[in-house]
Amino acid sequence: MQQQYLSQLLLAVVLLPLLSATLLLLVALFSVNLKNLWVATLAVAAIAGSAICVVLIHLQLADTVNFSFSYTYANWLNVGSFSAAFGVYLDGLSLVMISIVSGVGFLIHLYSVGFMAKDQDFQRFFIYLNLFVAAMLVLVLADNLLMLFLGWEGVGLCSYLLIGFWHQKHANSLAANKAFIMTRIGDTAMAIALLLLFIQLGTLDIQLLQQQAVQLWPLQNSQGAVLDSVTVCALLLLAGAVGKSGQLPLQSWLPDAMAGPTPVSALIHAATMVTAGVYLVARFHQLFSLSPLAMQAVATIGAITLIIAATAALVQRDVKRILAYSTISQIGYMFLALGAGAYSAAVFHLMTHAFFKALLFLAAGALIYCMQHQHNIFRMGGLRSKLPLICICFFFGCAALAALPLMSGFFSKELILQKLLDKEMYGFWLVALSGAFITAFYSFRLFFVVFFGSTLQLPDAKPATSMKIALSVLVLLSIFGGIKPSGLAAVFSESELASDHNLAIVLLTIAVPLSAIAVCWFVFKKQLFNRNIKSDKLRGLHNFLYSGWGFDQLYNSLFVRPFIKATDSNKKDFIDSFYTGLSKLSQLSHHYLSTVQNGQLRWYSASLVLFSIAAMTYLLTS
Amino acid sequence: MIPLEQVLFFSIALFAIGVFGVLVRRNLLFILISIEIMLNAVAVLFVAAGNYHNNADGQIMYLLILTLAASEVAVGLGLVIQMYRRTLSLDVDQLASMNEQ
Repeated sequence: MQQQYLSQLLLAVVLLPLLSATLLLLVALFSVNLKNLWVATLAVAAIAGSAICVVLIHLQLADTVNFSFSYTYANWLNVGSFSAAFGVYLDGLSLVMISIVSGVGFLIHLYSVGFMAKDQDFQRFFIYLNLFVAAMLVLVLADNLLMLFLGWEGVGLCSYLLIGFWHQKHANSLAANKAFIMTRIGDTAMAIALLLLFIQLGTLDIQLLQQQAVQLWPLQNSQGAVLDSVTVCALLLLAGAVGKSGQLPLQSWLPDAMAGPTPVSALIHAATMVTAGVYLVARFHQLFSLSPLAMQAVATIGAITLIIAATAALVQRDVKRILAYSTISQIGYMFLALGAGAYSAAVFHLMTHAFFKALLFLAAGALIYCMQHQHNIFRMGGLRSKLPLICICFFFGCAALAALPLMSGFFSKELILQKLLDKEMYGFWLVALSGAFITAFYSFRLFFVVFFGSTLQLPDAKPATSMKIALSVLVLLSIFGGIKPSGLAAVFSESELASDHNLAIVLLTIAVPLSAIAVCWFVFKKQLFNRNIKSDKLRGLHNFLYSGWGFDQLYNSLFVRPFIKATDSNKKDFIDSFYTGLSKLSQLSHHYLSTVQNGQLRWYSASLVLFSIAAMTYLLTS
Repeated sequence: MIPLEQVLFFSIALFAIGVFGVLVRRNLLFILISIEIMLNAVAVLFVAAGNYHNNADGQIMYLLILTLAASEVAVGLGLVIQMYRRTLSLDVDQLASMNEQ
């Protein structure tokens, strides 16, 4: 009975946004002009419906702590021993994910109604947005890898469409292409992983697959770590996750993805899609746990990305780019936690990050909306009294990002730091702690520069009502969202018992961001942020950090330019030159032979005589 | 009895004169005459060879060649008249119009 009920609810959760997207698409195809109000009502109601279904699921499962539920709706493919079905798998992890996707998704839809009201392509925007939510829900609910891959590619497509939403501007199309191509690198690796796993284990069902992996491949000790099949599979999956989540070395697409409308940046490139990589690793935690090498790789990638992105965020001037780099950095935290085996801490940070980063992006969107599309924070200032609501949003968003005590981000980040200490990973712990310092510094640099100091430009618009509602709810979530979902520990079979909190360590994690803010305030008061840098060395460092450690230039000279050169040299069909040579040869010989046929009777008879003599000589002498 | 060698030399010389005429002359009429000379050179050779083998076949062959030459001249002269009517000249080099683009 409960099974039936749950399965219907889950179906509704996925299908509502999909149906709404299809309906809006059909309407658009038959070129019926719907009023914006109707489009908005349909699109937002669909997501609201799916959010309500998620709430109902929560109520249904409220009293069960350890649950896992799977249901198959229909058969999809059946070829030989290979089969894939339209099936869902619900456990603590996917429940957290669908709550984030539908909940934050709903708030961002609501916000977009106000934000996009004056846009001509209002309907197209909501089609993409609905489709994205549907694909993301498929991704997190899928019970087999093929369906997960379907959702994975679906969100990639929607991300591409939405980054290039304002495609009339060439730079936006380029950014969309960059995002699509770079994530494709990871997706290719993931597709290979999918095939490898199927060949080796004979199934794509995620749970079954991991059980078989545990039986088939014994746990290695970390000393004798070699590149065996489980490590290869895990590393390939990791490559997919890295591409989607904007981690090293595929991180450079994410800052450029900010070309899309701001609600898109909030929903896709901060709160949900980019965390799909974290979800993937968490979902395959049994497989990853089998390979110490892969775990090491996850943690190392996370730690390096964390520092690179945080330092790059220090010097950015565009408000959205600051937030983009901070997203990369925070996902680095999640990867670090995953690599350390603290899966539930990673997913917990994913959740709180979704709240406060969505808040920050939406507040940034409102700021840009009110300031005549101004992105540069140094052109703003003293907006504290002019835009009080946005100021409050930014304060709580930055506080949660900087992990100030009692904010949601504090609990998750503190948990990650604690777990790193528990696993005796002191190096990573130091990296994470210094990352926390830099995070607090850049987030409050943003806050101080925009809302304090002298007023440079006056806002000319007020945020719409729907935007205010969404922002208010997200503020509450950012403050009070720091409650760890109860089902997570069971999924990862971690003990619920909290380890002893060392008071000194906790105080340290509180003191670090506070001291960073104090330093930041001091630097801001001295007006050092927007001062021109005099020394050459410092300016070089600034430019290096500003370009995100020069990865774009590196990839340009390593891959893009050689590729363009290669294609350029092939422009005249280098490979075809053999065949064009052949045709040239036959044309040339035709030219010379045709001079023989000159129509002169006496030439003909002369050649006749000549060849008769030659033939006779040959016959007589041989 | 004339020795075969002399007849052979005579015939080859006659044939060479014919070939030379065909190659050098531009007048179609002279080309036809040169062809007749070549035919006669061959005919002489046939008669001499038949005589050498004590065989009448060579002489029969000569008669055949004679009729062939007569009919060939008839056709050839017809062509000469046609050519003269079209080009008002007998210069074969003017017949290279197929080569002109």
